[in-house]
Amino acid sequence: MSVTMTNRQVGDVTVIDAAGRITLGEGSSAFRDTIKDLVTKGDKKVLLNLSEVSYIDSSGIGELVSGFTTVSNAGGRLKLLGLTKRVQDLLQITKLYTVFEVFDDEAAGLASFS
Amino acid sequence: MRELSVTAEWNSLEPATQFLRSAAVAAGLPEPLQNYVDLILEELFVNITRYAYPDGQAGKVDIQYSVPRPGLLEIEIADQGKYYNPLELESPNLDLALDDRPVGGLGIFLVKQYTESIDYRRDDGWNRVNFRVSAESLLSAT
Repeated sequence: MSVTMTNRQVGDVTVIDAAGRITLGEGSSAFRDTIKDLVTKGDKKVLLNLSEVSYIDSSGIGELVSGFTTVSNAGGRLKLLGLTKRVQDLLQITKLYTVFEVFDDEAAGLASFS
Repeated sequence: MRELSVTAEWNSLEPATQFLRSAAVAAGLPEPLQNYVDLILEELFVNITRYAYPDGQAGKVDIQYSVPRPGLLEIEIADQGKYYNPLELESPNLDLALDDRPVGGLGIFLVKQYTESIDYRRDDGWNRVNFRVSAESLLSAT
């Protein structure tokens, strides 16, 4: 299964619920396209929910970094929500865990934008 | 020793993954750790599909594994493409700011982190990457 991305608006924050696998090819391009669309629309507060992402590879990690910089360069913020142990491990081993703002709780993640 | 030979193309990743999942089960690796074997395979396999063979050439990838003892897997992934030693790649600078980090370059770094040992040799036209994965090496990296 590839990744599915579903957007929902909570106040002025766009929450992206991702599910599946963010890997080379379809998974990472779907993520990239979603981020580009949001930035084009002017959405600047993005909370990426990864709690249903079962698998991510180096390409997926690269896309997270790219998404972060795309949103940041547009004057916005991209934060992460609900990391599985696997994703958390990969972010820690690549020294990205402390770079991203990460939340276990959606309410806390949403509140952090205000 | 068990072997699988597949075509070096993206669609072959799934049967290759299933093959090494059966290897991980045979070695008795706990299920949460089996995903990391998937990851190692994928990172190496994707490099082969991208770089080993000229466009349009249907090269092959041979995968072998053995279980020297419970909890330990020895795996070889081999192709007949052009010389490519993934271990010669420069390690990514993980201390760079996010803005300065390249999108790629993490794959082989991750492979090195999750393997107990890994080596490369060029053997009569073959690129052969051999590595060992153990419950201990995976647990220490995760």
